Amino acid sequence: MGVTAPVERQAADVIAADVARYGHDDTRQRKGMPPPLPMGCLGLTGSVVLVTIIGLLVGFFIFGQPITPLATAGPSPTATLPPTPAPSPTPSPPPPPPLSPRPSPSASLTPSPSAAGPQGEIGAYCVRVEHSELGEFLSYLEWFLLWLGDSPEYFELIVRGANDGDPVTLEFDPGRGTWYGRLGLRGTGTKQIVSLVAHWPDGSTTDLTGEMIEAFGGDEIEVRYPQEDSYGDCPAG
Amino acid sequence: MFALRRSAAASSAFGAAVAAAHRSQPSALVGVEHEFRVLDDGRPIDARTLIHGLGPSQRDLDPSDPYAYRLPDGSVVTCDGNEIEIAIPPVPVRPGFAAAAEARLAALRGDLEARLGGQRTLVGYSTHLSISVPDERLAHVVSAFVRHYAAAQMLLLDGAQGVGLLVRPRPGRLELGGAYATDRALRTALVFAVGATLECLARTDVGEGSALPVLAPRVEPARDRFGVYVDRTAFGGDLYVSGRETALPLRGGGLTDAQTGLARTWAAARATLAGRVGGPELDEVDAVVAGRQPLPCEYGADIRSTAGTRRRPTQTAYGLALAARQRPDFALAPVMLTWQLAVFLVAGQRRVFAAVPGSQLAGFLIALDAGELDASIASYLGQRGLPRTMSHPEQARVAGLWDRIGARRRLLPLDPPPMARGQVASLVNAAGAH
Repeated sequence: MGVTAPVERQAADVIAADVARYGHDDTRQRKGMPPPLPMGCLGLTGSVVLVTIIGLLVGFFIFGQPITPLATAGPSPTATLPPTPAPSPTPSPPPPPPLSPRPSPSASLTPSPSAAGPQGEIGAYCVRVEHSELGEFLSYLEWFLLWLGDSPEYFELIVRGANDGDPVTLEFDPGRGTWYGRLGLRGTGTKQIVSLVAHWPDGSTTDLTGEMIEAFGGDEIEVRYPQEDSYGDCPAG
Repeated sequence: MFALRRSAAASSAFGAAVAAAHRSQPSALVGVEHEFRVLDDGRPIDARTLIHGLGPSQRDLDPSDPYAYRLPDGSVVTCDGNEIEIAIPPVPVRPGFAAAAEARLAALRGDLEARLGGQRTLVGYSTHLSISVPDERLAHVVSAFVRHYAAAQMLLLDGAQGVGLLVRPRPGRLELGGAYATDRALRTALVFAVGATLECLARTDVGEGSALPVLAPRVEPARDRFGVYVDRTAFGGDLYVSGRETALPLRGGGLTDAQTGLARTWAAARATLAGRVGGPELDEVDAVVAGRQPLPCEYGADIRSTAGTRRRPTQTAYGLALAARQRPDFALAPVMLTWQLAVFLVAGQRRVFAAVPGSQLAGFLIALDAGELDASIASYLGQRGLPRTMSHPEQARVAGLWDRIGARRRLLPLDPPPMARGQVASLVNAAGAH
């Protein structure tokens, strides 16, 4: 290797370059549970603490405090990635969807399938703009959907101005517990939700376009540059 | 195109060799974390303000944690909020694993206290137990664990000062969070957690769990993080005050008592541990479950008197991975080391990267040091053509060789955001007829 630096030094340079360019994804700085009670404080003080905890939880869900940042697992520039994430088979019975539903009651949706057919509703969604290459596209939209109910085979999403208007399949991602897809973008501007359709194992479909637009509060998504905006129930940060 | 295919084939050969080496390793991994409040002259301080001054060891191998330092034995010192945290690396479940984990944590605490100096002291804050679980089974395991094992786990882990149990599905593992526990409480809680998790994991038919009491705790979303929180009062009475006599409501109606639940769940968990752990570890849990030794909530304030025989911590795969290695045709050093994934820079006639799932790290190092991977890595180094880039967690599910890596933090699977109440209920009830 001639005068090449020792491999430890080269590795340190790789790490330093990564940190300098991408930083850390600091998602750790939150607690998942109340702090332990001090010893000997299990009487009135303990009750006060418990009441406080309950109050905090109630406050959290009513007022929608910031939640854990969800870093994207999107692609870095590469020709090896498919335009959508690798499909994951949908387990049966349907897995629980572990993306946070929106806390506000106004966000919940009425299931549209008929009473005899599959049931479900959009529990939460998050749409995020990523200004990173996706195949031939310069940027892309990440579309997370939390579905509560019967498990479809997949969702098909069409957004005008994204993915050249072609439909994109939202596949279930067991790692996130959500349905997920990416729509390539060729530029900024207004994108319009055209349709969202659930495809069920028996071959039937359910048009959820109205529910999606209602949840979104409209059918338009504004893509700006260089801002990487997010819409819906995306975590803060 | 052909060069790309040849590179991919060489990478696949490498992955197959690592997987073959891994097959001889124990399948289940466990990790334990302890968090501490740091008091400076009696006042709590934010550990994030001082950790970088402690200079513990190698930094930045975990792209998701700017505070993490990887120690020579593979353990980690970091911060979690204001608290300072020590975490042992994932270690295989084998006879003596609980005592080894406890000894390693005790040694880490001692080392940390020495670095902090006399004016600053550590106060135990919490314990987090992690057991490897495939992602596709996590929801099932969380559901079964909460419905069957939560109360018993809480009794074995938390003392009277505890608040409750956190059950979190994390990428590749189940994490259980409770009160700070050491010595026998830690060992027994860990052995039980592993047995219970493996028992939940082993079930494929929802009817198999019917022999165990199905509890109906009031569960809450974990605060700020994805997961489920089971409070000490989730079963009606205060579990840590009433202890073994606590009445536990059953899902189908009626009540059982915590002692009965403890005994029955331990019997089920114990059966899964046969051949995996040592007799003394099982005996220790037997004694606590049977009441011959106290539960943590039955202790006085001083639980250190229950210390077992301490063993000197041994080296781990994560510690061994830190050292640079020289092979005939290349040298290698880590650029990323996390529970899920290890990535090494491979420098030979050109530079490439070797990515290894954390669960296969031990097998990878053994095979590497034995020269069993030399041919596949040398073959990859000899390929020229379109570069292959690793940029997504899906690519990290099997060991592979890559020409480039994208942002390291994007190679890790994500923790979903916190859950809402309805989602918690959905998760806990997911298995239906458990």
